This record gives sequence, structure tokens and C-alpha cells, in this order.
Amino acid sequence: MSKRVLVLLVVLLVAAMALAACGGSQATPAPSGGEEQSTSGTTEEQASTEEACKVVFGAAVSLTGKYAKEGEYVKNGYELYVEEINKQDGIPVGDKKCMVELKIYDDESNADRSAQLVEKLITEDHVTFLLGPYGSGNTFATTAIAEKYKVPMVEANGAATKIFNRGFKYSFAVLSPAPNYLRGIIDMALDKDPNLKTVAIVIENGAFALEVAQGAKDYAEEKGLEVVYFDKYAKAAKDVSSLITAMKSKNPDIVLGAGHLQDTILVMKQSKDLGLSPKVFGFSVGPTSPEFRKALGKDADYVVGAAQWTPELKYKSDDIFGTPQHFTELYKAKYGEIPPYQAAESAAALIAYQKAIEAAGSLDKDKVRDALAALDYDSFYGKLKFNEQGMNVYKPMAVMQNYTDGGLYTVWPKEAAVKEFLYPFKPWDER
Amino acid sequence: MSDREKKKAPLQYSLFDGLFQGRQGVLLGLFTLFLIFLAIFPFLSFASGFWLNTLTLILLLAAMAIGWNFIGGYTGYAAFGNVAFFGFGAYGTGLSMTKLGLSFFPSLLIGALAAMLFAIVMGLPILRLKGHYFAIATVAIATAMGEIADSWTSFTGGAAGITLPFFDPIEWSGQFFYYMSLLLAVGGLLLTWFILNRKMGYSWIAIREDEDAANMMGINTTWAKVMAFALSALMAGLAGGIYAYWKTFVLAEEVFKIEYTLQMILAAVLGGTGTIFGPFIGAFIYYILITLLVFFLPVGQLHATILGTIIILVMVFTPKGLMDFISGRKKISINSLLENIRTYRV
Repeated sequence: MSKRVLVLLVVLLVAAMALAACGGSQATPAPSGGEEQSTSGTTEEQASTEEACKVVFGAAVSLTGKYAKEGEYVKNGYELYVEEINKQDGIPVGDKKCMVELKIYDDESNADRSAQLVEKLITEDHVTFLLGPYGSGNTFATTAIAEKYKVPMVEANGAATKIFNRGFKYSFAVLSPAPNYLRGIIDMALDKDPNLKTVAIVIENGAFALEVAQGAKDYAEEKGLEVVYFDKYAKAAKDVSSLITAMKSKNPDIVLGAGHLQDTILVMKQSKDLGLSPKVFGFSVGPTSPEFRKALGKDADYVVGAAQWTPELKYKSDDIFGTPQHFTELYKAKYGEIPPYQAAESAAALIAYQKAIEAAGSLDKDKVRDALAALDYDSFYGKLKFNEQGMNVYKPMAVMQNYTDGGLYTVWPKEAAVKEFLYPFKPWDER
Repeated sequence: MSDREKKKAPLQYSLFDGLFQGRQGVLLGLFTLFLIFLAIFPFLSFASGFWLNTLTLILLLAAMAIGWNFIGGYTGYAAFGNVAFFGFGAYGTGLSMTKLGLSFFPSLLIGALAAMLFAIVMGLPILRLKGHYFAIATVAIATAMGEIADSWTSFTGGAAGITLPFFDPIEWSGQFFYYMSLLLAVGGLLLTWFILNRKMGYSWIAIREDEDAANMMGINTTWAKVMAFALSALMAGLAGGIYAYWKTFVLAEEVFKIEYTLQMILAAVLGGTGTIFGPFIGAFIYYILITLLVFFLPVGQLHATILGTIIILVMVFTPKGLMDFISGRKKISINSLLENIRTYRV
């Protein structure tokens, strides 16, 4: 019997012990679970008065699960910035410099886990500031935690406006919000041919795509275009031919797709089968990815896609990266590939922090929050400036086109364009 | 799976005979201490927001597992769609709060009752199915409900979801949702105990052992089965409602995801199906394993693999759940583990 009682004790007290042991370390000054950070005995508020000054940025990023790839880009972006800034002895705070540290956990592409981890970063690890996860869903969940504890979070990978419609004071996004995604394509098309009259929009039934589509519809109407078709297909749809047939009967000048890579490829394939040939084919996500060209081959020619950022943009800045080209060089040297925009926007989130910390001259959370709200800075990633809700509505969306030579080039905005926008789309029956 | 082994085991609810006497008394005493620990937890100095968050998730899972135990454990119907009730509770609460403008508690009640009503309406036809057919039907219903919630934009908000107001004051939201979850889980334990000492509880076990015989003995098996289904829906629906307000957001792909069904079954099976405390303890063990693997052990991205391996090992060696050992029905020894393997022909 005593044996059984022992077994029970073990099982029941596993919980209590795990909680007490792990939670207990919070009471001691050294942050728990921080492998790299063992010496600091200061709280973040007083950090600047001690000799070893340190800024710790915490983030939950998807390293496993369905967003594992994108999550890796995000982590790379964060890490590249930290490596570069620490080469210059860190971020200037007042009259001294503070080394930068990152604390990243894997949220498994799961919003619950993401929120749990951010709560851990705040209440157990005592990070100074928060960075965002990947994706609108996880960002939605984590910004609420940041708000609860009044810790600023600059996120770079959640474009849905619903994140910012809740009156939050501590959340900021460096990327252009979802409704702006297709504006660049509409502007570019009208710039090329002011006689374009009609637009058809197909939408994936998802939170992000719905916002993209609504934003595109509003903007197109504002520009005097007529939206002749506006309908959605199911997430992970395998067949959209009924929508394409319906669009074809309207004979639109521009076809816009709001969705993600896989359904964008599907729309293109079935448009070819059914002979839908508008003058412009533009999508929110997909055409800027190498997978798009791989899946479609020559059929990818002429198709344009929106991009938050491209390595070819001609921004100039006095931040540590200077230009998109220099960022690309550094990224390539470290990771061996052309940086995807997720990496660039993630690094830009840290630049927003750096500039806000410099302006505030302090690591105080509320002072830095106020400095972020007032930020207006031209970075290698583009303009960093937030509206009242915390969204960066000031940065334009770039457009990339799949060229007939098999390359992928920035064609908009005009001043940053590498090549001329190829217009119009060559009809399927003439290929 | 149910006809072997049963005769040896005393009926589980005898755990309460002779309160606080003998071995079972010690167990109950320890459990009471643990509950007291949980009750005062938020006031302890080391109770950070992170641990409050984690425990809230555990308690919600425990409540759902306790509910699943009614239909899956006691009545012996392999329900694989209980997440549908979780989703119903979440949407019921969310829609009542946003569209009707009600406060949280009446909304929660509406959500839970909606889940229960749905279980009754669905249970009447599908509880006539048995075995795999019933399991498939429940999965299908849960999937269909998720699709409907995702597509019915005018009513449910569709893929854009429903955004709920924040708990006010926001500083106390962690404590509020923790106590709501604790209340629900403990209420579930009391409900289990209450039913097991009533005719309903005996009916469930009779159905699990031999439904035809139970029918012949004059038990209204349809009524008993539907009640088991509805009560498990009640637990999941309440958990869903609390979850929705806690996360301030309802989205079909979040609240109808099949992982929740799997988690509640896993928690119940790990702890021991057909026992009062099994699902509760199973939820704690499952989640603490995850938490240790993800946050505290240096296993990197292997955490999911290791968790899966541990669960397989537990299933192989103790297919009846850990309550078997805790309650002293079996001793932990090589022999009993090997006997388990032989009995269940793993």
C-alpha cells in the first residue's frame, strides 16, 4: 500500500513541484530559462543605470508547424539585425550603448501557444520589449497579452486590420496592412493604361484575404474603376472553375486575386484552361515566390504580385542596413539566399525600436511606446510611421512581375522599378 | 474492449466509500490538498501570469475531458466530435455577447444550452450507431459544423470571426478566467460523482458492458445515452464559452479544430477512462509534459516527437490509464505491465 501511496504522491505532486520549481525562479532576480543571460541581476527599468546595459527582445515565432518556413525567415531577420547592431556595441540609449539580446520560443504555429509564450516572456523572462510572431492569427492573440501587461510590441508579420481595431495602445505594425495590398497593382495598371474600366476580384475565404479584397474593391472604386465581379472560394479549394467562368462572362480588364500561393496557382491554371485573358493578372500573395514559377513554368509570364518589400527597391537610409541592397548582401552572406520580405520586415521592426529608444533616450516601456507612436523614419524597408491604431499605412506596396525571360523583377513603384511593367497580359490563345 | 478485465475491478465510484479512511481516504485527502493548492494558487508569490495561463488551459482541458468521459468512458461510445460542442459554446457565447449585447454569464449559459440542445438533436439519430460508425458520424458532424461556421458569413462572421470585448478590468482577467476554469473542472468532478450514485450512472455502465442486456433489463438506453452525450456537450460548451471570452476571439478554424477532441480523449485515456479523477489527472499530466518539453527541457524542436513517444509508451504499458495504479487496483511492476500487454494484445 505504501508503494501505491508513493505512486500517487509522485503523480499529484509532479504538478505542484513543476509549478513551484519553475515558477519559483521568478522570485529570484536572474531570469529563468535564459541560457545566454546569466549575469544580469537588474530589472529592465534600472538597466540603464548599471554598467552592463542590455535590451532583451522577446518573441514567439513559428519554428515548427504550418508556418515553419515563414517563421524561420522571421527569426533570421531578427537575428541578422541583432548581429549587426551588436557589432556596433548595441543601441544607443541616452549617453551609453546597450547590447541587444533575443529570446525566441517556438509557438508551433499555434495561437494558444503563442499567447502562452508571450505571457511567459513578460512575466517569467522579463524581456524589455516584444516582437511579433508570424501570421495574423498569432499576432491577434499575442497583442492582447502585450496590451494586458502594457509592454510594447512591434510586429512585422500580421497584416489584418482587425488586430488594430481594438483600441490597443501598445501594438505597432511595420508592414502595410492587408487592405493596402493590391493598391500598388491598381495604381500601376492605371498609370500604364488610364482606359482600363473594369475589375474582377476572386477571394479566398480567409480573414486576411477578405480584408485584402475589401481594400482593393474600395480603392478601385475610388479610382473610378467598376468592380464587375466579387466572390469568394473556399479555403484550400481544389476547383475554382465556376468562378472563372463567371468572371469570363464579365470580360474584365483587370483580374485581382486575394489569397495565398496555392490558390493563386490554381486560379492561374484554370484561367488558362478556360481561356480567361484580362489585360492584367494581379495577386496579393504568390507571384513573388519562386514556387509560383516552378508550378506554372511559362504560364507565369506577365503575372504580377504585391510585395511588402523587394531587394531591388531604391530606398536610402541611415539605419544599420542603409539600403535594401546592403541588407540583401548581409542576408545572403549569413543565410545563403535572397532575403524574403518576411526577413526584411522583421528586421525593420527592430529598427523601429532602435529609433524609438534613441528618441526616448530610455528603456522605459511607456516612454518607448510614446516614441514609437511619434516615430517617422525612413528605413531600408521604407517609411516607418504609425497611425493612431498602430498601423503603418504610409509605406507603399511594391509590385513584382514574372518576366518573359524567366526572371522576377520589381516594376513598381516607378522610381524603384528595375524593369518596365510588361503590358498587356498576352492572351492564352496567342502564346 | 470492455468485456475483459471488468469483473476484477471494483466499481470506481466506491472511491468515496468511507470518506478519508484507508488508502482511498489518503488518496482523497491528497486530492483535496491539491485542490486547495489550486484554489489559492493565484495568491502565491510565484504564480506568474504564465503559470496562471497554463493552468487555465489545463483546467479547461480537464473540464472537457471530464465531459468526454461521460459518453466515451462510462457509456462506452467513442465520441470523436466533442469539439463541435466546444465550438457551439464559443460561438453561442460570442454571438450572444456581440449580437444580443448580453453580459458574459447569460451568454455563457446560452452557449452551453445551445451545445446541449444540439447534442440532444444530433444524439437521437447518431447514438443508434455503434462502434466505428458512431465515431465516424461524430467526426463528420464536428467537421460540418466547422464548415458552416466558416461559411455562414452573415451570421457567424465567417472567416473574419467574431471579436469579443475585453474582460474589464483587464489586469484581473488572468485570475478571473483561472477561477472560472477551476470552478468548471471541479463542478465536473462533482457532477460525475453525483450521477454515478444515481440510476443514470448505473445505466451508463450497464450500456457500456452490454447494451442489449441493459435494454432487456428495462433501462431506457436511448434516454441514458442521449443524456450522457448532452452532459458531455454541456461541459465542452461551457469550456468553449469561457475560452471565447478569455481569448476575446471566435474563429471557426480555432474553435472547431480536431486537436481539441484528440486532447480531451488523450487526457481521459491517459488518466483512465471510466474513473472520476482519471480525466482530471490525465489533463494535468498531458499538459505538464508538454510544458516541460516545450519550455524547460533542451530538446529543441523534437518536443512533439518526444511527447508522441511518451504517449505511445503509456498506452502500451497502461492501456487502462494511470488511475489503475494510483487507486491501487494494480501495482506498478514489470509483471503488471506485461500483463497489460497480453490482455490487450498490443
